[in-house]
Amino acid sequence: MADKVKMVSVTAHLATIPTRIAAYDRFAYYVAQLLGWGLYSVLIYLISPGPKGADLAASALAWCGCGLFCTHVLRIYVNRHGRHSVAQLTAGFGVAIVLIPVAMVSAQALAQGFLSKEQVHSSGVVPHFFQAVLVISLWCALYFSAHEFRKRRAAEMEALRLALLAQVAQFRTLRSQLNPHFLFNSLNSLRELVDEDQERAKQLITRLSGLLRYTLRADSVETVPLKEELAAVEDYLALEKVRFEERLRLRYEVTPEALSARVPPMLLQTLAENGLKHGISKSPTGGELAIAAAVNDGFLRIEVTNTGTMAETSGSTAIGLENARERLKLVYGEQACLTLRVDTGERVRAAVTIPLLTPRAAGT
Amino acid sequence: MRTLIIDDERLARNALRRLLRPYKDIEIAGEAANSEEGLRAINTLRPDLVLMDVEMPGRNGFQLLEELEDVPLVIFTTAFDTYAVKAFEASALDYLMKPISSDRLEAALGRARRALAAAAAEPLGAGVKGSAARQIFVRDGDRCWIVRLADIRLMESEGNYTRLHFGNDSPIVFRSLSAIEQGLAPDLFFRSNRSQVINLQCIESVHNEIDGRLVVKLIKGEQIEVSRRQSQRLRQLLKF
Repeated sequence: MADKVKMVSVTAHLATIPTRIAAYDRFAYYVAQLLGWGLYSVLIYLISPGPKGADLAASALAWCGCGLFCTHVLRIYVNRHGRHSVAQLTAGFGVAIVLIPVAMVSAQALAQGFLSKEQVHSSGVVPHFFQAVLVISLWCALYFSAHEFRKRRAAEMEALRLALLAQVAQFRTLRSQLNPHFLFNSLNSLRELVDEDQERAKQLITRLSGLLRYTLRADSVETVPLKEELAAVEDYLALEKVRFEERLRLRYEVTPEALSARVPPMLLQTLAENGLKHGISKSPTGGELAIAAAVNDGFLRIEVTNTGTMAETSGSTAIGLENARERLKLVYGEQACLTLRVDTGERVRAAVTIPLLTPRAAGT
Repeated sequence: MRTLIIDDERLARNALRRLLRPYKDIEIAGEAANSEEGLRAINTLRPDLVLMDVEMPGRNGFQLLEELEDVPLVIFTTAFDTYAVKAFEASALDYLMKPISSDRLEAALGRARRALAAAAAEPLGAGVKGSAARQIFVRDGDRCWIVRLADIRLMESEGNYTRLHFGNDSPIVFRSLSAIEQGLAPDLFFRSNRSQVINLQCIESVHNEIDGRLVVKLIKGEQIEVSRRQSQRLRQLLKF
């Protein structure tokens, strides 16, 4: 399932991109090299004057085979000394453009000499040499424009790959981990509760372990059913209730369809934590935190409302909600949104709208 | 030691009570569940020691201390607050991490006892009100101090702020010099000019200038010019 793509495999996939691109490029080179020289030898055979036959074929093959071999050696040389300056490379090519044709003419002459007892026509050598110079120059031009093109494309790919890696890393840090402040405060309260109400302490330790397990798992999945997220948030709020006692009043209004909708893990948790942090914990008398979720028109709408005013909510809220917003954008693009506004009657409402199908899931 | 517990969680207050029970010299003077109550309790109960959570509804622990005219011995408690812990570590203020271990608590109480004993042994003892034994809480960036007024040798006005000089530190506080000066003991602090207040006990030497004004040298070497009018007053004060 597309929406269960593991973030881990994304990173692994990204890591192999450069080697895979290099493999494609190597393959493309061999195909072009063999095809090019092959077609060239066929062309020589077809357009050469004089009788067709084994002699001509051997001559063409020697000619092209030598070219193929020498240019391949040239490529190995250039690849190995890829960091040479332009001047050095140009000098190298100059030498190659002279030496390779010499080799080609010699190879051809040798082939002709071996196969036929006839004297080699010395008059053919000079035009052949210049033809070879032309061909090798063309080869160099083609190879180096391809090489330049590939280099630029590789740089672009690398930039993209790094950007994507950064985004994956960012996505991971954006997954709001369990707030350590909450964790240690809870442990402190639980330790005391053990003396006061053993049964309740046991239940809450179970809830804390459930919550911890959920947050650890949240790292590896992109979305979870709201039902699971809600269960974790209920655990979280039950633990906060131990700390805040009667100062924290809770209300849930979640429709059955909403329970099966998928949400990024820790999204609701972030909203609940923010509401609690800025709405309830700031007030000596506490307040109410209401969680509502419903499905409407292909979208899931989640609302977390807390008593309090926006003035108290500004500032550090920005970070938590901004992270949640970024995470939504990474999963849903522009299709999801998160808003925060003041309701009548001293209430602050955080609302999230997300499409029921993730873009990727919709595509498969 | 009369001790006050300030924490917004009932269970956290209970935990501290239970941890303090074995110590016979600790008397729990009261509890407060938020900074408002805490401020009132400190001012009315006048505890020797305050165990206080950093994060609370309303003002946090630091803001509470900044409002106090006289700061008692404080041990902070915190669950996980990197900012606060940094402040404590930079300032050698004592703090306990929740859940609090009894060993750490014992060590902190030991330090508190020694500090109280040291304060009682000094001539400017804890009993003298409104004067040198008074401590104030100072915070500047990541660092904070609980400093005795008697240890501040110089206060300098910097606009609406005031720079305090004590020990090797000179933090800035967000109060004007005249606001700070109002609460100061006139027998200890002296306004030497428009922008500087000096601690009379920190004067190393006094020199006469040709025009009749005085220049005061403080123990850490600061040279303070005294205005003409104040030079006369200083002569009377020091019988110079």
